[in-house]
Amino acid sequence: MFAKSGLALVALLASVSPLWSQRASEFLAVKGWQGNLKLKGDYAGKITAGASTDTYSFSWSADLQFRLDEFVAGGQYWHGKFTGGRAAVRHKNVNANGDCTLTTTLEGEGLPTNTDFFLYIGPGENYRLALVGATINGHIVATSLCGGSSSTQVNDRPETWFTGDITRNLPFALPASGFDLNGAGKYAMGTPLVLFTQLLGGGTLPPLLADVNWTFQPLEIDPLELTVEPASYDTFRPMGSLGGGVGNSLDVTATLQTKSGKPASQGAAKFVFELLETSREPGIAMNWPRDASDQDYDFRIAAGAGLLLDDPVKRQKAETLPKFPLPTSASVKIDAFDWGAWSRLKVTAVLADGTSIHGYLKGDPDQTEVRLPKRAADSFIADSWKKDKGVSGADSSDEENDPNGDSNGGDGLTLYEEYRGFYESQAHMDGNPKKKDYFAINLAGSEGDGGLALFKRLSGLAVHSKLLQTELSSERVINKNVSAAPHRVDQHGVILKVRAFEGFAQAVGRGPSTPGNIEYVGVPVAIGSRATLSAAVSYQSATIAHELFHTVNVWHHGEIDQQVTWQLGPDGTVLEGGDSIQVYNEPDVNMTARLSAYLRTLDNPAIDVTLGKPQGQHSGVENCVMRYDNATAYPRDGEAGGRFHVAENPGAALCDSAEGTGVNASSRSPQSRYGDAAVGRGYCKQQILVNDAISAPVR
Amino acid sequence: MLSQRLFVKSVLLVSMLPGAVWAQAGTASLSLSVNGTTEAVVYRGWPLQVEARALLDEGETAEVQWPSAVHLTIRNSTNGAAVVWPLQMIANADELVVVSGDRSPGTLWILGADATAVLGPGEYTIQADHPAAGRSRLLMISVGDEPAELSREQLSLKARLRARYEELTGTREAALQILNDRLVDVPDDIGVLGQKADLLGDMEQYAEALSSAQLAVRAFADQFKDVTHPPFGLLRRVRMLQGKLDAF
Repeated sequence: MFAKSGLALVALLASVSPLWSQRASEFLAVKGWQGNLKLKGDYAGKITAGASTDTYSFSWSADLQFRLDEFVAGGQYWHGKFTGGRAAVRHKNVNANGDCTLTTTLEGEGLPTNTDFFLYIGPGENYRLALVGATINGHIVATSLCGGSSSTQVNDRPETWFTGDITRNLPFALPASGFDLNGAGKYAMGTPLVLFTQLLGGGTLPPLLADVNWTFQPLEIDPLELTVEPASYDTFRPMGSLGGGVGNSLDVTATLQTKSGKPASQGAAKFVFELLETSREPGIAMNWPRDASDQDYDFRIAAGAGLLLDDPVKRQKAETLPKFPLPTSASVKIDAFDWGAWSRLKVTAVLADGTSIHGYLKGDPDQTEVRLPKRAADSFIADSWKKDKGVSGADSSDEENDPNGDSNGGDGLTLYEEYRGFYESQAHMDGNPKKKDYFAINLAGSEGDGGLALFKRLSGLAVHSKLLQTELSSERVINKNVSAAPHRVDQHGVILKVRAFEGFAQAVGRGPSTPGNIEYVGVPVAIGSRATLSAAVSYQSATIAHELFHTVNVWHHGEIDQQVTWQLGPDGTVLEGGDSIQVYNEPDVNMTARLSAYLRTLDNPAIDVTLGKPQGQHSGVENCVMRYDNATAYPRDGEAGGRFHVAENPGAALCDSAEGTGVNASSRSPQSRYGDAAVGRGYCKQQILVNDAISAPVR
Repeated sequence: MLSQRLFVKSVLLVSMLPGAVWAQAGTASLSLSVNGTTEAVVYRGWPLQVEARALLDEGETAEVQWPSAVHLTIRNSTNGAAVVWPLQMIANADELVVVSGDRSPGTLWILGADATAVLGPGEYTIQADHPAAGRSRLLMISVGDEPAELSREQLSLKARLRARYEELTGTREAALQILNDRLVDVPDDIGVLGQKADLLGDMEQYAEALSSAQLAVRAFADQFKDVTHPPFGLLRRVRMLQGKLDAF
């Protein structure tokens, strides 16, 4: 109903004849005028009526310069004064009647400082001129000579020096182009009243015409313009809301004014607001809602009183309904529905004569389609965000190098995607444009959290581990909600799942590699046993962190350790793979007999042993979480079949060297257990690769 | 009965302590889980366990007031209304605790089977917050009736939760009986074997504990033949128990 009645009003307005033509609107942009007005009229004659004869001569002349520099917007006119030149009247009449003669003269000359000169625009494509107080001071001398006696009277009075015709009647056509107004013509002058009364004999004067011509030149043209001013434009960045409603809004005001910044001389019949090429990215953030496929417009014009939307759903265009007097400004609210929304706003003021004035961003006349949010022409990212984050790269850039890792830059997320951001535990967050981001869903409780916390500390990655399952796509892609925005690669998150095993974690998939190749990290169910202040989760944390490092292509220190069995042999010997071995405790205590005795106590006299090897999983930096800690024996140098029986400590750091340290140090006594890391291994910090766009190297 | 001091309180919301200096140097984060996971189905009639833990997030150490400053909020997901579950908090004495890489204070809230049986079915969220450790992840909890048929994993979890609840509120013997009953049905249940080993270890029955731990390792080897990593946790438990027994 509202829309229908609004349309009818618009149609009605359009059908009304314009009050001003388009040229008239252009002329109204002139700030003032200067020019020249000339007038010349000379008449002489004689009138005889009976015994009376009048011999007269009338003369009007003017050559004046003027300046009309005061504009009255409501009346559409300028007015001003004559600034130079002179106007003159010289009249004379001699009335002879018998022996009496009456001679009357009127003379006046000067600048008519009391005259107001007006220039009107309209109606239609016309202009009019008017002078108020077009007089100069005249000096009258009347001399009577009759029968030898004479008398003289002197008097001063104002005398008209200009034609009234122009003022009263005449509209003149505006020129088709340009702004100079030139005109000329013959116009009736008024009969010099004082003299006329002295025409004693009666009779009729001929029409008294003067040649008038004028030239108007614009002092300065100050045309109308339309400025567009979004409130808080410098700081605004679009937002979405979890439920899909309006995230935030931007108030925009369009104002008609002259180019010099003065109030507009006229209002607009309507203002038209139009959003152009508005983003229609799926969802409202890179991962929310999950697997979004909508194409809703991310910026929309809010419905409001006095506003007619062309489509109540799309809301990409709206115009103001007619209002009188015609307003010189209008405002709309632009609603944002997406954290990465972008658009361009075009505003047009349509004047009553149909003239369209296209708006520009206040302070930036070149920006006639205002970029929303405030951003560079080649970017969809709000300037304010870039400033806050201290970044300036292209939207498509993916170049973070913190941590440097294997020296491949980026985290698979473009700068735009970091800006549009993500939902984590139902709250929006930006990506970190200066650090490599890593995303995880932890379904494994405190054990998983402990591993993630350690992984975060050791890796230096920006770890986002509070994602809900509903916040990662079905393919584990964290930046799946993409359409036209810069996108480098489908970057994956990692899921920590509870699996039905205890004391064990494993990255399942084609790893070590980047997150895209890791199906999940399996973690056992951990049921808290008691309240504790101790390191209840620290060991499991280390094993989970170890697995998490596999999801960023960090490899073991080696791969050649062995699983062997020590079993009781004949005569109290201990066998490994059928061969007799000697078992020692460090530094050099033979434990073989004790082991043999222990084996004899077992129903099955054998124990499983992890035999660590040089450059195997236990090699390299001792305190690295990527180093295994389950070896229970290692070969003794210089003695075939010699074995040291040991226990290893778990790592709590991430190494940046391949050189054996601690128990693996080359200088250690009795010997380095497992030596340096294998070739191409170790340097775990230098292996970190989180970017799914990079083919993960095999080490 | 238990070796450490336990404070059992009937609480839902724990008030924050005013005016304390909550953290220094590094920062801590807050972990929260329900029954050992973060997006759980809670079956009515099963014991329920909520665990909060402060973890070192950045730096070398962080100080947190623990556990009184932990604030737990449960809401109905449908209407967002806060709800009250009669959780029992099991906590250490309140103090200012240093959180480090190997020191992560935790606390538990438990709810018995009788209490969960009367919880309203539906969707809930649970979230914890702490002045220094921030806000935990939002846990999505679905409360419903136990399925007619339980999977092996569900049966294992049920037994373990029941045993843990007994361990915390009743007797260790009762807890042990529940685990043994489960092992009668499924002798190679690794999780139950591991929990039994821990329980026996707490009861200082180290030989039996070692036996259970070794059975768990063996079961692991049988059930996960193609894994890429050894069962570090199980092996470590075995080594610790061997150390207790001074075995080779």
